[in-house]
Amino acid sequence: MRKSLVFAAVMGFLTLPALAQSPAVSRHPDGTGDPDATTCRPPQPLPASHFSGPQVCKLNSQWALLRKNGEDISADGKSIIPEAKSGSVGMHCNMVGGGASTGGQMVCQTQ
Amino acid sequence: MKHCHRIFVLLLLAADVPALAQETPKPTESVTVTGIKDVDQAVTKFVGSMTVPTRVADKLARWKQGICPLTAGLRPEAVKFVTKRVRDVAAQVGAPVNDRENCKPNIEIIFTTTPQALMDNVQVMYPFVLGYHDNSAQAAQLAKVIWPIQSWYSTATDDLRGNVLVDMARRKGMPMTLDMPVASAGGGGMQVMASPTVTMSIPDAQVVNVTGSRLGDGVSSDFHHVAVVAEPAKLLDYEIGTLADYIAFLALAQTVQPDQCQELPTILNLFAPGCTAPPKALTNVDLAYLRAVYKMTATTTVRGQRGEIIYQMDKSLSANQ
Repeated sequence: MRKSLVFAAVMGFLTLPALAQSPAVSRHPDGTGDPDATTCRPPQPLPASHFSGPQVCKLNSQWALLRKNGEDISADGKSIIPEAKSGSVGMHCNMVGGGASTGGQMVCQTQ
Repeated sequence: MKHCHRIFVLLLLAADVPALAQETPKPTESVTVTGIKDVDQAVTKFVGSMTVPTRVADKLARWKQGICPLTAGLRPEAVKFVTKRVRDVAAQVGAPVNDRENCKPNIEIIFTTTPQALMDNVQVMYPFVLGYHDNSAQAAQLAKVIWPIQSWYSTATDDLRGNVLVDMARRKGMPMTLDMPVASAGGGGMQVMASPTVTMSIPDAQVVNVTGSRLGDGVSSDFHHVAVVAEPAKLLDYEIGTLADYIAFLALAQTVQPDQCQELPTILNLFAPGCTAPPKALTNVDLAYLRAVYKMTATTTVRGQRGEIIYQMDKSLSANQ
């Protein structure tokens, strides 16, 4: 009985699947949160191209360092560039209120 | 990862750097170790305090692959001079040198007016260049620029069968497949049935083949990449020959940059506080040390390696007296 319990415990330990945590996604990662956790920025359109660059994943500490230095990662994910002025980055706008005929109000939020 | 070096070089080349005043190089200084009461003791102290074992294998690292230095941020003639000096010193002390013209750089020597900004960028884009670290706090600590000339070492572990693995945390771990006996129900006790396969994932684990001997486990540490960053504004009082020698030392052996003057005459005293007249070129002590590093048994314990270096240095320095 005791053997079975030990065996069951061992099996349970071995078969316990790794809890794969998918990284957080943000259109404008600011480096907040666990410095050793990863945050990904979704693909951004490449300049003068119809294509988008890759998803860029960095540690929060790395995003924080970039922001501290007023920097960002280029859309192609290959280089560090000056950060765009706030207001033009990660702005997400929606029409709220109103109907088809009456129109509505544009509400923009930074991401 | 394959193109990381090239990208890193481009990043560094893009750094805004002025040319450094170039002066005539000086030959290696021949300093006789006199005036030191107990040279053996001084050598032992020097080796004990200057050597840095790697975090993963706990061995002293050295170049196994041929060195290929690349210098940036100086006028072309100074670039050539520094690069050649590093190559020459390497050849002189028995370190392997890659003679191919278009070799892939594994030692990057960068002169920049903004060293901290450069290392911040490295921390974001190429953190492996900083050397082994477990977390972002350690990475940030490593990336701090403290010295006018500072070096960063990325090391690799070579196992008994020649497998090379770059030393870094955040590995994906390894799966291990085991055939597990399973107890069947009923009867008088456990019975073993056909073995199901169980796969477990061991995060941060890596496979290393070792001998099992206490004298040497068959594992050694190599340099994978060395970055040396210099700030010209803080180096105006130094000759380019002196700086090239200092850089050569850093590029060939992972060393603690001393925060106090060493008793033995060494070029590492160049920026150490309290040194009134530091050597202006590599000394006999420096060359003896570097030669010993490239002679030591790569696979023995760090204690054994230090012992071998001390022995070789004592032999070399007493022959010079």
